Amino acid sequence: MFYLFVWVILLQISLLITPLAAQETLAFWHFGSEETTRLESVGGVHRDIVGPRPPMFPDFDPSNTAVKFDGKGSRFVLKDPGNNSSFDFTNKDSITLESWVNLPQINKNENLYIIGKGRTYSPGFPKENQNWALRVRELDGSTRVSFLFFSQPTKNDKGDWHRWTSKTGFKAGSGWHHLAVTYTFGKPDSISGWLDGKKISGAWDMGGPTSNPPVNDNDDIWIGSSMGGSISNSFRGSLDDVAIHRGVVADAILEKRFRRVGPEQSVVKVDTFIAPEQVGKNSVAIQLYEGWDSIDSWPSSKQDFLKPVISYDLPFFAFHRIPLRYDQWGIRTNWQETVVLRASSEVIVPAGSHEILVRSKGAARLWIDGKLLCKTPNHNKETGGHEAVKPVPPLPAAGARQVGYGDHEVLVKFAATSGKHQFVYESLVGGKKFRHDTGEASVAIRLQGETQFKIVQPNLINNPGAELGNDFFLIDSDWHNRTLKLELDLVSIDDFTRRELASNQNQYWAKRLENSKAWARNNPAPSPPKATNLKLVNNEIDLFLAAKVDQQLKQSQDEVGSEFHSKILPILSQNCFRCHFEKSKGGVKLHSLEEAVKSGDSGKPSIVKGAPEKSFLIQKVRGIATERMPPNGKGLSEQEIASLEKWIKAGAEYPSNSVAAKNLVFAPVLDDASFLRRVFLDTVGVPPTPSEIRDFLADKNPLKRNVTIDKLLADSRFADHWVSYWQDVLAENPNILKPTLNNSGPFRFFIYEALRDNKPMDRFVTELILMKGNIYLGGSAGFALAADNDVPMAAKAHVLGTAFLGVEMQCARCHDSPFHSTTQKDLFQISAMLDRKVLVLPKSSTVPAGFFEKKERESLIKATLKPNQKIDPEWPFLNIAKPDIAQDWLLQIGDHREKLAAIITLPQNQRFAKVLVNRYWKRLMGTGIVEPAFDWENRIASHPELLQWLANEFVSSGFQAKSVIKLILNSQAYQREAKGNNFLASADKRFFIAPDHRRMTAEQVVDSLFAASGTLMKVEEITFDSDSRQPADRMLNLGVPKRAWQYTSLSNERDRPSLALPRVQAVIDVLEAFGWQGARQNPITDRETSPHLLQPAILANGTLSSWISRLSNDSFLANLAINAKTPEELGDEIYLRFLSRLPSPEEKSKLLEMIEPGFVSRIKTTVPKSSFSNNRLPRISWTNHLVEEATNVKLEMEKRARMGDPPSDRLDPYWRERFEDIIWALFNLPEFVYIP
Amino acid sequence: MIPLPDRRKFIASSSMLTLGGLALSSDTSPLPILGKAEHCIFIWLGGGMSQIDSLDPKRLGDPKLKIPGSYYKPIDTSVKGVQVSEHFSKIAPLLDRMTIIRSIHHDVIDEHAAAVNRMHTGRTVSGTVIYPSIGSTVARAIGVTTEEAPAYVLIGYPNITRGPGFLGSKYNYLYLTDTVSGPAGLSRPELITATRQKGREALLTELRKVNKIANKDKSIEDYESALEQSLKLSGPGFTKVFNLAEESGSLRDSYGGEFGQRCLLARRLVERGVRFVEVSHNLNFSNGTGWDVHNQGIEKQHILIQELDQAMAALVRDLDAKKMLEKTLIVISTEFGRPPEFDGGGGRGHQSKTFSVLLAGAGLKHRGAYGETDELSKKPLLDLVSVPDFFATIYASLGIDYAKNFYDGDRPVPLTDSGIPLKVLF
Repeated sequence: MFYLFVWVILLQISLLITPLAAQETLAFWHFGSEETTRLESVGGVHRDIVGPRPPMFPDFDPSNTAVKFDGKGSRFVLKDPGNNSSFDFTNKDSITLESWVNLPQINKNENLYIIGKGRTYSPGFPKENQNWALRVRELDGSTRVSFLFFSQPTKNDKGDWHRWTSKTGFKAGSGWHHLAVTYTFGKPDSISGWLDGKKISGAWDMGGPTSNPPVNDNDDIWIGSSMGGSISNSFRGSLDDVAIHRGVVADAILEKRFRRVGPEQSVVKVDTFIAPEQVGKNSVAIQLYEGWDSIDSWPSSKQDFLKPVISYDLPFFAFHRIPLRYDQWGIRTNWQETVVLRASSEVIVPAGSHEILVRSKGAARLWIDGKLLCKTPNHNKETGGHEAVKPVPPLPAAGARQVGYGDHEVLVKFAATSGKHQFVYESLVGGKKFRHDTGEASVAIRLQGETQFKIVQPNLINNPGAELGNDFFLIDSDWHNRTLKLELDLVSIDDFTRRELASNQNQYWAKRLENSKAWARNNPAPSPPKATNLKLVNNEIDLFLAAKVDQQLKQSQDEVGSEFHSKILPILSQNCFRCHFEKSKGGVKLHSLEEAVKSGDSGKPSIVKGAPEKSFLIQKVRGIATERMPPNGKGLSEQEIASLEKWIKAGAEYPSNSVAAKNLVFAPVLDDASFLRRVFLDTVGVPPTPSEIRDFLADKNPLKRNVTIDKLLADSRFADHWVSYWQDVLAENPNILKPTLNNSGPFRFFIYEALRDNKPMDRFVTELILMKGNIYLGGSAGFALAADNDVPMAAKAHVLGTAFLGVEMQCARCHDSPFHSTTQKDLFQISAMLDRKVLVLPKSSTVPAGFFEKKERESLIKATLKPNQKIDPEWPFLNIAKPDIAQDWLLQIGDHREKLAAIITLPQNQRFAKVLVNRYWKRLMGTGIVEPAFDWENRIASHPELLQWLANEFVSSGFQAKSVIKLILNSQAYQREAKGNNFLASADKRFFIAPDHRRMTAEQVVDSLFAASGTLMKVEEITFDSDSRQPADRMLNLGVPKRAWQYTSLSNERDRPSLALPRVQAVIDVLEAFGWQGARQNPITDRETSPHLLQPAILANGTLSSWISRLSNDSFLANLAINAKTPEELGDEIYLRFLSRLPSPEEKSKLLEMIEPGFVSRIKTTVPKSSFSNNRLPRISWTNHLVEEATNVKLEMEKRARMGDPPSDRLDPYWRERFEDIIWALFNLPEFVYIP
Repeated sequence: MIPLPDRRKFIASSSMLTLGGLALSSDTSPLPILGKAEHCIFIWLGGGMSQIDSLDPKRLGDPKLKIPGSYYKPIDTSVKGVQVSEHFSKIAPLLDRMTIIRSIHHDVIDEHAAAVNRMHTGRTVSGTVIYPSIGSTVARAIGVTTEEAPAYVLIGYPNITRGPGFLGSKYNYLYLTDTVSGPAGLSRPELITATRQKGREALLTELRKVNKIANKDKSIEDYESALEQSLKLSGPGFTKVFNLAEESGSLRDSYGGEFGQRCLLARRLVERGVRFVEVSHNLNFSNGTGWDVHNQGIEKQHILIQELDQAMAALVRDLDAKKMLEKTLIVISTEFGRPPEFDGGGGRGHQSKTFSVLLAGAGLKHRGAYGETDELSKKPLLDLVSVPDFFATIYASLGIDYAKNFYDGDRPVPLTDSGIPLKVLF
């Protein structure tokens, strides 16, 4: 019945058609299922969509199909055949354009393209080259037929837009319509519109009528979009039978085009039940679909539910969030448009008349047995901040959990017969302009005769076999505890999805691993030196350290001609100094002659010059007088004793050395409890629990330290501890409000997940540099952002230089570095590589004009680049690595960014591996082998061979951070008492005879406070948009933190009390006092650690300290106090929890003084109240923060935050206060904040 | 192995090089203008004060008819020819002790945070240096007056823009968000009585005595002395300053509500030796939007002006009575101003091409107003004042050489971007 034109034929025909021919059909697309349309499709064009079909449209084939456009720029493209083609029209030429359309939705005043020639924004064409176009146009609530062209410019006229719009139209969402326009160019009155077979009138409503000819060029014909794919001009719906005719198609034909039986499809959307493919049997089966383009209408065809992005099962109808969306690299990206969540289950319900409570953030529907039970309202769009503060919502039942902020709830009756009922819950989650938050979406039921709602689960009848306490009541404590568990399920789903997707890249990385291994084999590091004293050696690291000390001692020997440093000092240091050096057990010190000739407690001098037999030292080591020294082990060998005697006989000289002898004595190894505390803090960021300490102390396995290290390295909390290090080094700097002040995206999540997945560092850094995933949702793309920065990529080049190359280019931003060899050009070359294009140096990144003129002396700084100079993408640091190493490893040849990533991360760039192992070393030992760790120019390594050896181990492990960290943790070097002074020593005099004494990081302080006290981190969500009404590029939601790294600066530059997050602020106060920076505008390697008064002050008086030391009803410490059998047990327990050791006898007696009185009668028999407050406040977010009441509510919240949870009424107040005071004192001891 | 000099020494000697080579050293420039003030009370009007409705009144407009102009009538002041809004009736007679700068200007309007940053650091955001706030700069330049008081106190919300930037946390503020709860970290938690606090401290001292910390080195010693210092500052000696009840009822009343009490507290802090107090006027109870008077936010703007008027007049009189006005600079500042036109809701948008700030006290030669704008306060016409000039004027008043450098590592950072103080005030 219709002609089928394929465009190849068209091309031939068109050349034959003369412009004066009568009506000719130039193209007619039916979009049939078998059709091989030679149209090039771009983007989301979906074929085989149901088109107009009988019985409603009897002229069509029952299997007629149409085509659907996703409205995001997707289109069909037909190339223009060239000059004077049949698609060219000028004055006196007539055109007819027609199409069937099915448009579900159109926004106010939108113009959507059906078909048009020109205005594609293709290169080589002006933007005003609309040859002709048929569009639909929204006006006053109806969808009109519209025709558009741009008139040809002439000498006197620069041309103009001419738009005709019909006076009547159809309603979007009312099914299929036919529309057409006929027009003879040059005759403005000749235009006619057609809608559903009727001629309709209209007007030239833009540019007015014109007798000028249209533009006529060789630009393409697009169906479904225009303007380079402009989203607000792209057709969102289905088209069928699109045609272009030369000439006016006769009225009689156009009248007959449209035949429909019955009325048009009702615009009032009917809720259609689409049975889910999979219904949960003993669980709730969930499917998520993305790309739905509406937050206020529902999918109504099976096709909308064809391919879920993900399916999973949960035990309950409770959805505190949906899984994360990852890209093909396993990096966080955004869900497309609105997500449709469908959850279904066969639920066993007892008979009765029940009540059902449905909650959701976006619109939701609940179907039971295929019938719609209820719907919740649509999600609200954003507002400017002036919305009224909503009163506290009533509770559905006494004690029930209040509806979530910005969520909807609907309560309905449900009369059920006993047995299985199919529950299907659907919700529209998020949208183009909203984050994909579910709020506290849930389905709860109050069974007849019961008082409280519980979350629906597959079995609602309590059968005898059911696990006790399996009910999930809709109360605060259950919601809190159950969603913590559900979160674990979702985390494992996320882990699985991410790792699956990331494995897409595994092939490439497997090759890189082989390459790394081969390189490490072919470029071996120096072998570790031989040991002179095995007691000092756990692994190779210790051999390197001992060798440097030995070397120094030998030098001393050469210099002063004495055996002292090679023979005597090692005997003394390894056997005596532990007790007779700084300490003076028995009143004896042996580190200098002056001390050694004194008499100790025994009354006998340790050394009598020239008389070994009279020296108490010799008597002790021979075991002649009382007990032998050293007390442990086998004692000194006869040979060692002989050496000592010979030395004393010769006068017992302590010859001086260029390095003081005491600086060459390896510190003793830490005791077990201190070791355990240190290694826990260094791996998982929190101290061990009392039972972990007890188990470790009781463990007889000689390898128990190694076993513990392995266990901790495999612990997922390792990521929680190490993520903050990289947040600092990489200047991760998100803002929860619109990005400004050098803000980046929250790529903390990328870092965290890379650590969680043990991503090799070459891969991690590559993915960072490639900036993948979503900027605002935690992809490495967030690294790309530098808000308010004139050259974001220069900021990133600076970060990469310090983080991975040891090249500091801070000064090079505006001029050549005065103290380094780096030039401004170096920095901008890397920036250009990151930007994948030639960069132009902006004036704002240069030294202001006139600076050099003012100088009388020659300036130290030079600017070799001029403003507006162009800089090519090129690798500048040939002394570090050669750029050609990258050539075999690029997936896209010519991609400068990828090339940069490869040059930095390939093993041939030895600097990369060395900088990283040095960073690990520094973080664990307190000082780097190279210092500063971020700036290596003109620095030397204290242990160059060790550095090389570690780097080689790192490369051969395939850049596994944990392989190096494990080596360090297992070394004796790490396990020694922290007496080191390495940081202040120059490289040649840095021996790492002991690690440096480190204060806990801010994150360790906060995490340890919570962990030791068992306090829940009950703080606000870190967002100003808790009702999810703002797009992510304006406001982030970083979630409710569980660990310290999840905090960020609250950036209340607006200084509005209504934007305060008082509980979050209380934690931030502590973090900031201890050197954490929530706004990291620049990369940080060395945090400020020097003590200042705010540190002890905030621990003594801060709000967080009140929470930690408060014994409230829900607090862990209150339970501990109640359950303790004896005061001693309680005292031991809290020392273990806070300080990871048992109290000394003196400490214990002090403790008992406080705990013992009233211990027996401390417990009161009142029924405890929950700390979850019933005294509810209205909720404030961005939506309503500008109204007066918001400020008052926030001030009340601040007050409550300061007060903390009320003290427990289960404990006698006098006893409780004393116990609280002990807790307070424990974490205020300096010992608490220092790593042993 | 070639022995290298100690790393610290090396850095220090590099810095010496810098001083010679890079600094805009004062020996080549004319002697700086230096005032004699010792303290600064910096009143911050967050949101952007509408200068045309307050300190730079013009002909009346009509928000309903969308006729641009002032919202309120002007009144005369003690300085001939200088008028202010009718809601500044209390400072009008004192204006001879103040100078309104009507021609300050910058180029940030669309984003509060960026403009707040500009008016706290005096700089555009840099890709490489985190600039210190004005409070931290003063704390670093002239330090504390006594060990018994901190250098820099903030009464408002903490944020990066008010922070020390590259100067380091030593120059950070102590902050409090209201006058009731005291500063975070130095005031006793609400449920802890003074007796209990004393008991706690005694317990801590005893536990510290018996605490056999394995490794009592320099860092622990430093931490312990910080602990001693914090106990001292959180003790009754210093925290007394927060007890406003010590002042007479009539004086407290003269300052007005919570904002006035903050100003009174600022005076007490200054009296105790604090160098720099930033007082935020962010009390949004009255109109929700504070000084950011878009739409309906403008309807109660006069209440904010009246609060400011009352507190400022009381502060000037009080400092004067205590003979402290000469050595205390009072600044009223804000991130930008507002245009004479009205928005859809009858309020105002943002304008940074010209807006008003105010200086008082410090023994300056005050003149009521400096700088002039066009007939609707849309553009500055005469005596334009840049942000660096404004900052240089403040530093100069406090006797700080505004032309000198701080060092961010190796890098010299001048206190202002070539700002020149307003000579007429000195």
